[in-house]
Amino acid sequence: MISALIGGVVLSGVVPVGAALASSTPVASRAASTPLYLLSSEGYDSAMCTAFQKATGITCKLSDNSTGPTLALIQATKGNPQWGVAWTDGSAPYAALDTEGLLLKHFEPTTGTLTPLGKTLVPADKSYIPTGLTVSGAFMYNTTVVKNPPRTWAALLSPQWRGQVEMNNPAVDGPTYPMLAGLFQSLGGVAQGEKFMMKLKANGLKVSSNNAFPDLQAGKVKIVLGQNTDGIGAFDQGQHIGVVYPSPSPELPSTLAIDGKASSAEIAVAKKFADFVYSPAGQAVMRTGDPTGDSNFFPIIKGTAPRPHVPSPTMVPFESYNPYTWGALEPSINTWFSSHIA
Amino acid sequence: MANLGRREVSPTRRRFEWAWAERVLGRAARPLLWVVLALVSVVPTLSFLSLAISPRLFSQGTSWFTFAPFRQAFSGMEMTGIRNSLTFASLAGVIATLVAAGLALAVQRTDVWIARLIPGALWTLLLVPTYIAAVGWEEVLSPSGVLARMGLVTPALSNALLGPVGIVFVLAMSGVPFAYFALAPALYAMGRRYEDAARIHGAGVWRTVRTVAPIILPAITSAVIIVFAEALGDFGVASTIAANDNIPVATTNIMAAIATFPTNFPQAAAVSWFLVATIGTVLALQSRVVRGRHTAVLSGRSRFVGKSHPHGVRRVLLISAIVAFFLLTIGIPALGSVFSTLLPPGSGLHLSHLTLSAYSALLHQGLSGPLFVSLRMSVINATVTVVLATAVAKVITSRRPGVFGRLSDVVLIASVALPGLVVAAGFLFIFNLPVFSRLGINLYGTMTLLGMGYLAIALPSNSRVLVGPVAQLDGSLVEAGRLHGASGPAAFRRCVLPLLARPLLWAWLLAFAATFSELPTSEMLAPIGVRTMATAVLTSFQNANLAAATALSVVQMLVVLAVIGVAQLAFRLLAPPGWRHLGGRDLR
Repeated sequence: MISALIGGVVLSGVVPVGAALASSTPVASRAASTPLYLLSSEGYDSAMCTAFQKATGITCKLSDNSTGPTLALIQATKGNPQWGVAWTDGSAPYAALDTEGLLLKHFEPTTGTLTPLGKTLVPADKSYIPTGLTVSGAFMYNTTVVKNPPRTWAALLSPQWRGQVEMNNPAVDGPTYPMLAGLFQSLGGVAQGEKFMMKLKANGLKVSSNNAFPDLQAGKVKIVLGQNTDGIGAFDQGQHIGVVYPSPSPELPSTLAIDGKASSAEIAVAKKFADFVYSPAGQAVMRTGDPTGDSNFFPIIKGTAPRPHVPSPTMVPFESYNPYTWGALEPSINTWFSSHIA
Repeated sequence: MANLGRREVSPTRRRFEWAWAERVLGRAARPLLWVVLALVSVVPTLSFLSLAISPRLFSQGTSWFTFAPFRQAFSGMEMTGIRNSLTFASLAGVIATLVAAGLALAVQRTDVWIARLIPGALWTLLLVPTYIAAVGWEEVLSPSGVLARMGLVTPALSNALLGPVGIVFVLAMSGVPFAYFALAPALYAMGRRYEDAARIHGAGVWRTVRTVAPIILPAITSAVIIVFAEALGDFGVASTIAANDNIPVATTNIMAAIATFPTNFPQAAAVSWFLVATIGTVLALQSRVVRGRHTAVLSGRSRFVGKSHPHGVRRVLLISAIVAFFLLTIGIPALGSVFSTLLPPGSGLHLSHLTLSAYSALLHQGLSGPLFVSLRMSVINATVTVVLATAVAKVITSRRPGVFGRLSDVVLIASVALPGLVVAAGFLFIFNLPVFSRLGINLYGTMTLLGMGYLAIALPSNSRVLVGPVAQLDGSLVEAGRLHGASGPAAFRRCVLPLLARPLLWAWLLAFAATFSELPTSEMLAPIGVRTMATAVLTSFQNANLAAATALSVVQMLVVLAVIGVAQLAFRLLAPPGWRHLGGRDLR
């Protein structure tokens, strides 16, 4: 009831905020005829596109793919970019695109204020924009068969969990790499991280080249290491799934970036979209657009409350890592993982 | 006054004009076909392949010339993937050809009633994507699947069947229609005279096979090669059974290089080179094996082959084998897919657990947009594909195919072996070059480019499927029509079209089904803001709603089946009687 009330209040602000956004700059009339080209893999992107269009009158054209093909499209067209805004999970890819000079720098939405946690996710050159936070390495377990789940990474090495733990292959599933990056960093580096993974493998770690989470739902394994939103979404649907946030819990931010080579009209439209996402109206859409999936993020904008089954961010031992440093290591770590662990 | 603005044209002059137009068209047809093939197949594919040696050409690296991507592609897991692909595709090719030969013999040489249904059932099997078949098998065989819930499959058996055995099985069974349509016309044309001669001279069954098989060696090798190529480029089984069992294959290596960041297009291109080189080598071997053999024993004349009447146990066994084949290839996967949409994850197999919630969830997704887009594109693409595929099949099967004919054959088979993602990425690289924008050609992000991508996917398989029926046409048919005073098009319409009508209808449906469910091309080439049925399925998968995603796949298949039903009914009711009763009725 309370959340519905909050939602109603927030939604009632959609039109005024939209109207303000639509008339905030001199290029507004020109921008209104320029559509927004949005490449996204977020579960709430479709709802956001509709809400943005309704609020601003700007046509929103959405390409809703998974993260891999979305980033592949950006890479394939980088000689002649054909997008306005990209919005996916993970910050390392955007660090790489920034290094290649493909992103618009020095822009930050002004319609919302970042929390201290959110501020840690912003790059120095402001080339990409964090919009929310999830955990890449959460422990998700079947509550009917696991009464006392492991709470640390070291606990996974116990004989109790031999052959009962599964994760995705980071060489196939992009959002899994941040789990390794965060874990390896907390353990002291790549060598230490690889040593730990070898121990986990010796304890029967299973690796899926597809999607490990359905194996947990089907009872094939007891624990899956993955993105926490999967577990919360399943719990919301009435499934017997629990989520543990181990120490450390590697961060996986949802990230938005603007094409640095786009025309000024397209950039103006893209900035309006980023502003809309940070506004109360946009935050409401993020919270409600994909209730059994990506909407279960940790908010990083002040005033946005997490969904009911999302714990307070202060309860989670987040592990942040430098996406510029760890992004560069992704190919070698993924290759090592495929040949030694998968 | 009635003739105001119109000129009287004498019949002689009209005939002359028509003959001139025909001559021009006749001369321009092959070059035109070559241009189309170049645009939709050769240029995009070569663009993508060029990345392996020159990544900088399309801004995918710093080197203008390098072999580094090949070193990455032929080491470690990538090399294992290549070895696995070769093994699985070879086994699938041989098994599919053996099964297809058995089915063709059952159709042509026995009077078992159920055998008459085989060609139609094989077309249906052809329309089932390997992805659907593989998912269906997983739902049936997995430890939490239908058979396990009924206690009919042990975990050990499940693991055994959902590994390499399952991969080869699904690839081989999905390849049977291709092998059948390559093999059946040759078997039919050969008749049983050579067989009878061998048996009269005292040869046993094995000796007879060894004596007769070399006569149709070109057809046998064609059957093995087309299934080999299909299996090599398959992504449906690779992304399901193989991925779940962590068995790397070449296509998943390509996908991993493209669809995970940092995207490595040059490495994907290097693996694609392997696929193309493998097909090239196999075709060269085929040419070497067939060359020098006297195989010209087949002529265009019809032969009436006497049908045997198996009795007793043999008849029962034959009928059981045919039923088992279609149950395994169509029945069980369909059952598995449907069950997975009706049972919530983890629930036991009980009637009270069945729910339609996955289907009701679809109603909230607003599917009319994707459905309309996919229907429209599929109808257009199927029509264009069938016209071009008939022309390509005619060129390939002509007595003097020439360099163009032989090259077309190689290009099309190589295209079959390349995953759709590679071809789609090739389109992206070549048609998004800034130079095209400067010339005012802005194809990127248009429905035209999406249509070209769909054409590139459907044309190779369609041409191969039509090679059999077109090869059976006697070249003198059109000439006979012309001698009786018909114009070129009229002679084609009245003498050739009736013989090809049914195969063309099936080919149209095949292209329709392939387009309707095509994912990689839709992902890469659909204009931003346009959703197709395949991308809608993907969205459901992304949102971790597996039941809804499978339900959408089932709906997708139902739409295809409905279109097949309507098309068949329309053919039965509206086609001229000659079209319905003349050659190619069962495509033998």
